Amino acid sequence: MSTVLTTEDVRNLRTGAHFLTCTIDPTAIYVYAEMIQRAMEDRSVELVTVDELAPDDLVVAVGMVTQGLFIADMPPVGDEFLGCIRAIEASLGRPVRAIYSLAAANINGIVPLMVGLQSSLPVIDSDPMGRVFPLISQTTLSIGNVAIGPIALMGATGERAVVEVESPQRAETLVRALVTELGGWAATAMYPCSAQQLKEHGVHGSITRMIRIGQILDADTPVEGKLLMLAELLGTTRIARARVNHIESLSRPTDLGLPAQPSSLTLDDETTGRIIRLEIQNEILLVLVDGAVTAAVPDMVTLLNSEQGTVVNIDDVQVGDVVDILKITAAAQWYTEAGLDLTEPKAFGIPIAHPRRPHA
Amino acid sequence: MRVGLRLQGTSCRTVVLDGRAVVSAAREVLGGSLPEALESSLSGLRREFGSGITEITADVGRVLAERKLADVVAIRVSPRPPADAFHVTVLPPLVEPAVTRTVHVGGGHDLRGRPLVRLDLEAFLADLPGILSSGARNVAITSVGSTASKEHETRIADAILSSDRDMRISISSDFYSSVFRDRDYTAILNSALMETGEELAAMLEEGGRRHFPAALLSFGKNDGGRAPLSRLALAPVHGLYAEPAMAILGAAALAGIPEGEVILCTEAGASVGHTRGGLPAARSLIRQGFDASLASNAAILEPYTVHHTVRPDIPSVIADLRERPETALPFGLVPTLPAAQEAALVGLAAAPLTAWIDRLETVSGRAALQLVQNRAEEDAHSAAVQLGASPGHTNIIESNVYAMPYGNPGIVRIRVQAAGETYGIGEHTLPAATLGATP
Amino acid sequence: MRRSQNETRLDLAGLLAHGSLRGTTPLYLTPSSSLVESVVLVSQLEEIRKVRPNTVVVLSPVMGSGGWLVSAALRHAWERRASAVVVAGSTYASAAVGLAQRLGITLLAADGDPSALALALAAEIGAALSVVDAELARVARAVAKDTTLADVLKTISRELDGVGVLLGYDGVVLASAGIPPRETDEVVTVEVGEANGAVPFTLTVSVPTSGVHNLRVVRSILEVATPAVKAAWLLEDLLGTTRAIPTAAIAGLDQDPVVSGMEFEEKHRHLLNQLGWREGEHYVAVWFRDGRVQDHRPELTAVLRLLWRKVTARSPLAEVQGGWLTLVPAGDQDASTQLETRIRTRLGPAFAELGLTAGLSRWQEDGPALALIVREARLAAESSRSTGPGTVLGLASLGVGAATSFVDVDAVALVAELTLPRLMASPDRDVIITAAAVFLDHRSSVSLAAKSLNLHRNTLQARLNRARELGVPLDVPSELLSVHLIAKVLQRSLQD
Repeated sequence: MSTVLTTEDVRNLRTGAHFLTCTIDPTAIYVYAEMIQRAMEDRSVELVTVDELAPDDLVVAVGMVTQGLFIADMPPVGDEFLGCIRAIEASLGRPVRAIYSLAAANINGIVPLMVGLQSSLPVIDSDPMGRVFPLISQTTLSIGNVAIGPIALMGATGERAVVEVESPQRAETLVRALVTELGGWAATAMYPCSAQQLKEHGVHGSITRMIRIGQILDADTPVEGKLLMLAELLGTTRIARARVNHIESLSRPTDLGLPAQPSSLTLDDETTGRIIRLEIQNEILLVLVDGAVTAAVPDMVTLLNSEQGTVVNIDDVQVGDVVDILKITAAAQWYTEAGLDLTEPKAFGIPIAHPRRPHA
Repeated sequence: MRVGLRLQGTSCRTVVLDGRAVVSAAREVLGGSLPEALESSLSGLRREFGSGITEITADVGRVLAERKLADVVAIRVSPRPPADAFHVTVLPPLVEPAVTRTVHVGGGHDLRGRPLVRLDLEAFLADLPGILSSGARNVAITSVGSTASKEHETRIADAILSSDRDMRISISSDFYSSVFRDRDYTAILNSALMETGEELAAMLEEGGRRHFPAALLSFGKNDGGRAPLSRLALAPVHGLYAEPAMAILGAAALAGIPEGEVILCTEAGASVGHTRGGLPAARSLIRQGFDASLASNAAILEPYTVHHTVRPDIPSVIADLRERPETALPFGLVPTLPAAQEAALVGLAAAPLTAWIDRLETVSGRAALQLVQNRAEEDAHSAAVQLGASPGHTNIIESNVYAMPYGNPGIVRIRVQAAGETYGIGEHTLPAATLGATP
Repeated sequence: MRRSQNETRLDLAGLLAHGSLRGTTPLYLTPSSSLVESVVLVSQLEEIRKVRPNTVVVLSPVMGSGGWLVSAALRHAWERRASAVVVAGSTYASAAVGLAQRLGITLLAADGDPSALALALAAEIGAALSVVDAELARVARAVAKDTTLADVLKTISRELDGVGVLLGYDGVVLASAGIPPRETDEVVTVEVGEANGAVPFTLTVSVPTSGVHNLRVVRSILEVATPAVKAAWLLEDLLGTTRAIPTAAIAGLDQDPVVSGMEFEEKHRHLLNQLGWREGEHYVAVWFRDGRVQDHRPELTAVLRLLWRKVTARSPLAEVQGGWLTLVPAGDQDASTQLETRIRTRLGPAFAELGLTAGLSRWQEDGPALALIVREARLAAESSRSTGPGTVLGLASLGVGAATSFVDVDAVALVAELTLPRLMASPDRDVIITAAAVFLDHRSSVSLAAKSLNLHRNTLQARLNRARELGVPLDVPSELLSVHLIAKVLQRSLQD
């Protein structure tokens, strides 16, 4: 059922996109949200479900891929995604009928709306991650053997590339190299597939979910009410309400220097005395409660301010803050063998098998 | 003896410090105009203290904030201009009206300092006459990647200056932020304030010289340090938010806490800052919600919340800065420094000269990292000396290395703060150098 | 001989003070020092899940590092009751100190390569274990020198610094050495004897909980001493059997109950002399009987011989048909009474446990024939069967009453059911039976019986009439004995 999005939807989407990745500074999301709301004054963007498309309609994922640069460092010119879509169309000789987000969280959760506004293409309420993962090979489409290429990239410089590649891991390497040379980020279009393929392998309801999350969080309800509603909507569980006790930046060895963002947090659950530890590397990868694994990637973990129920930005966390640690189950595809192979902690350099991994 | 002096509207408020002792309580002089008030203040001080006064530091933040911003031409250097109106960099509402014209020039660097596209100087030179003839006196230049390389910005600036030597130019690479929007905003705001800065500097210089020919004249900065008045004309944006930083510094100085926690209670509420090495802990951005941040080193001041953790192992001072301190403080706070209304002025008077090095470097290993850090510390030290500090009394307050997020392992950010005094006098509150290795 | 137990029992405090852990930095130490029995170098977290309790878990550097790793390792180690976790370096580990404290498990940081430390610790544990092995070998040699069971038990007790050592059977203490056990002691038990025995013999040591003994080592010592225990016991049993031959002979020869004691002695005088039985000497015979006819317990002879030693060591116990027999010299009546008392107090409870009874003959001034006193003792033992296991009965105390102990109680009850149905079915049966029994006890005197029951004679008379109504023949002289018997049997079952 297709919907025309409102500015309020966009504001809610902004909150929802941030909620699903509290570890990344949401400034860029906010900047985009502002842009989109202004652009919506004389244009509209349509949200469709994947069922509404004909099964063999060509659809493509759009998203920013960054390497060493925030979007805000080098502002997009505004035509990069359109350029990518045109390149895909030229490469495949067919028009693109609709677009979907490469990852329905963080900035890539909201970027498709701008692209939709500019191109008049409808935005599909589905995505191939259901959350943010750092590698473009970590998608449910990849598990389903949907081809990642051809991939179109375009940077702020206006330079454009089309990469034809089969292996998603090789795609990751090539794209990263190009992104670096394009200045640090590039707009991309990839995973061109049929609506049928997206229907079979994608995660559905992603955009509406983010909007709904935003509705809950932005409302003027007490925190407990918000937590209940989030539990109903997403199946979130609150691991604990705990006070930040220690922030470490050198908690895992790196080659050089000190990471800019905290890489682990230790918290105390004051009512039960439990000691909680979060391991972070761009995303929260692991939660240990008294040393026992309670949540591990692909599970999503996010932090809410315990007083106001707003998303806590991890760069702003201070010792003494009291936060609610929420665990959100990721899309079901991630808990299959193939999914866990791609995304469990071992894939991030933490040698722990996921607790849901079926034991041999 | 040192004077802390705050200008606001048409009033001038002063305090005199001798070592750590306040020898003259805060005095406010109201005049028909600001120069009048200043004159009256300074002559009064001269009558009382004569040549005992060796340094005068002025907080001009309130005046800078009050005055109307001058018109600015914003020059933005990036590979390509925005494709539509929505992708144009948005400025905070207070600054937006100051920009009378936006000019795009092709150019820009990546994080490694490599040019993304060639600087389209020719096209700019073609536009330049039009810009100059419009009557613009203030220019701000922001280039993509100027944190890594200021080459394009300086070339544009040079091109302008060679046509008009008196143009006031602010380039964004003078300010550190990896975010284009922040640098753009800071350069524009700075440029818009330069005229006022010049005026204030001239006014203070004139009055100061007349009454105290031998004194060193400075203005207070956002990080709790001071810089010579000459800098006020070039980087006035660093003087906008000196007051809260000086309040932290002053409260800490009065309580004798060079390393600790400072809780300030004002009419607006309670907030918390920290001192290290005698100066307020600072960060490089002043955030303003989700709008562009101001890229100026400024004292960190967080709101005091009910979750505030009391740490018995670090000393703390609770200063009541309110004009009328009758009612109880929030959160059950009990002031350890009651009636500290003049803390900010005391801080001004006590503020040392500070200089910052904040830049990106490429390193290949731990040894190279150490080298680069040492060099940055030397540079910071020299910068402080250039401001007037005595080399023997200049210390490194903070020296940190940060990796850049999302990869690029060879590139690090080095951030060093140096502080110094003109000549060693035992009564200053700055302790010996403490190298803060804060991650 | 007392020697220090400490070098065989490794604990964290000792290892940290002067053992292979002394180079480590304790990041958190539990208040009480744990035992260390083994060390494991792990390269994956899952391996910690398989370690035994009291193991020191050392994290190999190949696992990487990071506070999260130490936290997860602490958790796994805590779940397995490990003694401690050792990590390389302390940078990442210090964040986990809070967790170590909360879980209550020791966390140590090694300065150099933890693998080297693990090896050193393994060597130290191995050395401690080999010290244990040397000790066990020594204990084995010591007990092998002992020839009697009492000596073996004493040696074991001595090796364990005087703790209590017991040889037991079915809950009965057969022999012991060392200090008696207390409530708070830790008990280590080892089985002695064949695997096919239904009830095992046990060797038990009671170790004070606050003592220095490592329970595993104690068990090992017991296991090592067990063969010596068995050997000594078997030897003694063999000797005992040999010594009991003269006693067994008497019972064996006395097969014809018609022959009087005197005739028996005359007939077998020469043999008896050869066997060492002197004429004119006074003895008391004691006959032991197994009350449980169902399960045949061949080991009881050995058990009884050991128990019998608590009474006297000088009269051998012979296994004979129908039980066991011993002849105890007794100079006068007092000696005989003393013997009976001693048997009752020292063996009564054990007999009750084991289901045994004992019977004694009468002491007689004129030194009766041996066969006679044997028969008396046997009779007394048979009689005591009816009073229950653990009974020690002298025929003297029994007198003619012994006859009634041969009554088949169940058969009599059955007769009562069948021949006196109305009585048995009557609701006031209990009262009637009591009345009849006491009446017949007093030779059919109503007044005497009423007096002894504290009733009015009319009341008693009424009850006796009721009995008659219910078919109890109280007036037929030839049946009085039977009725009296029935009444007594039923009355006794009421009391039970």
